[in-house]
Amino acid sequence: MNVFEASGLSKRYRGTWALRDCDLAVPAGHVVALIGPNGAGKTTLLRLLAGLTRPTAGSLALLGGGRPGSDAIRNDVAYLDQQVPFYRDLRVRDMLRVAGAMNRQWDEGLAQQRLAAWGIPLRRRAGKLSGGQQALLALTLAIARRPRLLLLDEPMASLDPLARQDATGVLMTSVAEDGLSVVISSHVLTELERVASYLIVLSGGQVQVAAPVDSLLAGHRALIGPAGDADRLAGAVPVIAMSRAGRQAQALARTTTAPSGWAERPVTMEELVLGYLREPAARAVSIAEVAS
Amino acid sequence: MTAVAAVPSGARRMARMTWLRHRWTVAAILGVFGVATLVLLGEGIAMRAWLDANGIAHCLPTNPENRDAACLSAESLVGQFTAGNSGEAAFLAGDTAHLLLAVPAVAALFGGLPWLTREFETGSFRYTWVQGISPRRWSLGTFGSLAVVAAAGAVVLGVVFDWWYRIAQWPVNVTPDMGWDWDVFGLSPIALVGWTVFAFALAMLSAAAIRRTVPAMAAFAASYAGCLFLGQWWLRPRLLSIAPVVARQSFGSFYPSHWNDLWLNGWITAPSGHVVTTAELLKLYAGMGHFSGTQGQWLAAHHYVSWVRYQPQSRLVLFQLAMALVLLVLSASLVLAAVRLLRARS
Repeated sequence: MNVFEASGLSKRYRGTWALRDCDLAVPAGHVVALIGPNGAGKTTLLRLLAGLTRPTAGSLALLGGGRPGSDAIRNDVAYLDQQVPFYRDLRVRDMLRVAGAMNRQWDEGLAQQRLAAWGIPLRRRAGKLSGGQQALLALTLAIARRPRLLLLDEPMASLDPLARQDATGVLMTSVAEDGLSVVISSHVLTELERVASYLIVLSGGQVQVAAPVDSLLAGHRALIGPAGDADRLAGAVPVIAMSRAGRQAQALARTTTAPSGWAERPVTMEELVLGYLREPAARAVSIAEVAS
Repeated sequence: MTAVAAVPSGARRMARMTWLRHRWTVAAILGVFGVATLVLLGEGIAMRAWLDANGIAHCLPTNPENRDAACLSAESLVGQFTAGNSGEAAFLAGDTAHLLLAVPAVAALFGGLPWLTREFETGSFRYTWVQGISPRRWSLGTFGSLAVVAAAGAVVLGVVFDWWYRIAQWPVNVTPDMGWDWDVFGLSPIALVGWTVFAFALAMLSAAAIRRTVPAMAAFAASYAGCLFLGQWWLRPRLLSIAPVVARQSFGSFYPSHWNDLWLNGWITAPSGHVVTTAELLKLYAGMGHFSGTQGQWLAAHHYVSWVRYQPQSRLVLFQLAMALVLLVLSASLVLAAVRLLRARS
């Protein structure tokens, strides 16, 4: 089952296309890293998935065919906005009660357990917590709903390294134990590299890359060779990005073997993402293309 | 992992969430209506006790047909109860009614609008919209709960006002069309519910459109005052002129049929059937000569007929219902506009 499928998905805000003609089919059970430069359409895609806004054109189906925001799947999707909007005037314990009242499924024990582990006092008003504590509270409120799909928009931005590691651990536990699917948007590539199993790169409102991380890494190589041969390399293998330093050139290429005269090594996810981001014209890599 | 608790679905969940989230707002709204109601109750009970003590309670309700000599002679005494003269009693009855028309706006302004604005300003409604409660339910929960509580307060205030007004306006002469007057009409329980729900709908739209507490309060106050003016001075007269009763009326009669009918207009026709103008009427009076009776008796003797266009007292509730219905339809449109605005901006 696909956790979400988009076909020709487009969203326009007052004459500006935030997303245009996006085709995606993401299998369930992945932690999806959603990456792109500012204004690429990441938040728009997450808000479409959350049902907070509706597509201008195209279709979007969640969890095997449900319409985003519909009553049928409302309880299965949790969304954590980057602005962490919850009721700041409520005490944490009241926030838990409100969240419990608003959802058909609510794991009070899990919520209490997480808040205790993170040292978040139940009697304090949510608005009086530090930025990091507010992010952890919001994450707790999202996870305690026991959703099937969790959408996170820059969730770790305000967390210290230790809290970030804890939060990531909690997420991964839910993925492993409950089969939770997660779509996480972040600019921190090293953080995503540790957890993501599926990668979507958006650029200019269009899908540039969408494939499992393993397939992408297996299907790309960093090639190192003489700068003078760089132009010929482009004719031999699909080159995504090229950089030259003196006599040496380094290329990110979609290949599994190095052409003669070039050395190759595996790429990291960070190198892969940066390579694509530097060349927005390099188009989407489908699962089928990578596998072949 | 711990066990997942199954939370009751539908209305119960919404009610629980509403109570947890809005209890202080509900208290503030009830406080506004409660204070106004208690003031009227206290005043009314004291006045009623005074009337009983002076043996003139039978003069109520304010029906001119009930008034005997004791009632008429007691009117000046009743005026003294309030402040020493009947002029101040008039102030008490009339201006209190005018002030009470602002109660729905005050409840919406201080009880509902700041909370709604905070919700939209901080974006916390977006948090709710991605929980198990749909935007439609959320709208019903936020607006509906506040409006229902306020409407309940309005019903109680309207009933108490009706009781109070019959006592308070008694000493300052009778208003034959009591209940039809613009201020009293708007304070009947039915119309007051309409104005209250409308005030909260307008507050919701102001909050959703502006998202800043003080500017939203200012915009709400100005637009509500405008709507109240239009409602009372434009819409109400037009409603009240729908399908009037036209009937003959004997000359000298003060009321069309019942003392609380609403007299819209009247005219006199000549034996030929044409409507007599004021100038013609004055000419006729000048030609009465030494006729010993009244002008009305003279006209009747010469086969002139007096006509009246009026709304029977029995229709008062219908018109109050019509007014409330118009306001409720407008309220629904305002809430829909607010939700659409929020959706577009979310």
